[in-house]
Amino acid sequence: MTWLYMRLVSTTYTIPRRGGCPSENEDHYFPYEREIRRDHHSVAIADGASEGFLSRLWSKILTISYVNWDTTDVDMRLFIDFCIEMYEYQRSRQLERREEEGAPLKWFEENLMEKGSFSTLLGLSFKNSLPWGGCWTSYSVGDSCLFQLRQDIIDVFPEIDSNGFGNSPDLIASNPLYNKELLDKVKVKRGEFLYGDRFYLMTDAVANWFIAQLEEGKRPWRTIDEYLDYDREGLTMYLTSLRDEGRLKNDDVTIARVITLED
Amino acid sequence: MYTAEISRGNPTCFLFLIDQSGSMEDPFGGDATGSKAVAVADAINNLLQNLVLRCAKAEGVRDYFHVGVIGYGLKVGPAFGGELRGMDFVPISTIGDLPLTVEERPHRVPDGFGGIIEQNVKFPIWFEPVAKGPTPMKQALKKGESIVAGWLDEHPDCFPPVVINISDGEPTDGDPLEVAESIMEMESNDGNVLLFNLHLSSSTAPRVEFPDTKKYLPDEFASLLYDMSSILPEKIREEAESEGFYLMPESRGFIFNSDMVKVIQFLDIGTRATTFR
Repeated sequence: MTWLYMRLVSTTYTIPRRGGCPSENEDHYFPYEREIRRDHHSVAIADGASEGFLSRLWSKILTISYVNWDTTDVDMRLFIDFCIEMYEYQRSRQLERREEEGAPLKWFEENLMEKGSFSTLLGLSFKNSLPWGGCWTSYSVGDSCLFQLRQDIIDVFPEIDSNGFGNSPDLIASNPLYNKELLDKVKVKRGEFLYGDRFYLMTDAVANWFIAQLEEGKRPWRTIDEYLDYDREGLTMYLTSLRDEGRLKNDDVTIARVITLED
Repeated sequence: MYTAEISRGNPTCFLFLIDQSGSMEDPFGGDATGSKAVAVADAINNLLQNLVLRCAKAEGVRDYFHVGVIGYGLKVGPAFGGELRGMDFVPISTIGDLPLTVEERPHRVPDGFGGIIEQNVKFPIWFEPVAKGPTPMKQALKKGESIVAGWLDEHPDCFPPVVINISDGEPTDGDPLEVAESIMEMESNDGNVLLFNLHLSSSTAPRVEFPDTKKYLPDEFASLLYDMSSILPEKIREEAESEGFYLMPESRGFIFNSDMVKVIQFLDIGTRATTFR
């Protein structure tokens, strides 16, 4: 039953917004390794909100937890509770460190910590149940996007057009007080894949550009693939030129490409 | 125009001109519980706090904004207290670090089950209420003009500075229209300086919000403030509309006979000009 095993080969790329440095990039993707071999195969991407305080920490916790949750059937309420517990633990560690260093929190740090952090999340899990592939499930909160490519046909999740991206996407909060209607905002999609299918996970700015290209009848995945495979510095230059031309919003960019292969 | 990104490399500035004349001691719109001076000080402190929070990240406060507060009453000049005393424009990180004092105040937040609970949060104070003397609005605008001109010399590509004048009465030092026009004619490479006016309630005349005509304004002074106010750029118009205001393409940044809720909303809209990076 060798067909019960598959490989996921992932290629990731991330850059901060223009004017920011890598440590200020609040997007996160997990897992880090190129080849993923597990019983369940999950990947996740998250976009920490710019105006949050520990957004980078929160997007990291969401993605790592999603992958380690390791299932195609996620109980979102349990999952978010778990992530909040992780966040609270990390936050209390930070507070302890600050006290040890003799640097108590300033008033704005206290207020922002009280409010918490916010992030989108897009998770994707595969289950290879057939000789030629299997099924996938994706959970999404916010405007990070998933694209499934087979030959030259591409599907988008969540369904959104290039004018649908705004400044107030749905977000998961680390403070439960702000998650009151969260479960209504979770979008779920299930689909099938064949070995060789490609999946692209993108945070909003680059997803917006990608969808605009699709609407113009172009094949933007070819550009992305060529740069990802052969010229990553060229991709940075290309995205910079798109920003300069006003065709790409100046925001953190993360692209994760996952190829499903028979092992 | 009005599309420049606000970043640490290309910050913008907000300048508040605050009426500190004797009449600011009067209660707000007939409400005997607090004076206009106290209410405006609270609104400005609240706004400064929000600006700091918008720029605060784990590694510190990013200097997307520089802020100035000019008071006008017995004298005209910078109105910050404590270590910021005498400073015209202050980087937002310095404002965050140097409040006069930090109080604890109750803050209403959702309880997660459809109700509201009160939590104590830190409420920093930078600006204290003052109500004494005449209303030298023209001098204040002149002072503002000179500060903003200096800023534009150093930041020619910035998102245009926003100047917000808050007053409850008539100027006592002559017609300020010419100076106001001169401020509105100043420009960065991204557009003209924006001058907004907020008239505080002390009469029973109906409130007028973001008008595009002088037709419904009750007197000469209201008409003067209308003439002294910039037409709102599209982005700010959208922000105001999302707050429930009804606006026209030529609507101006002016509210006549405002109450406290509108003061806070107006300040928030006027300083939420664009997303920063």
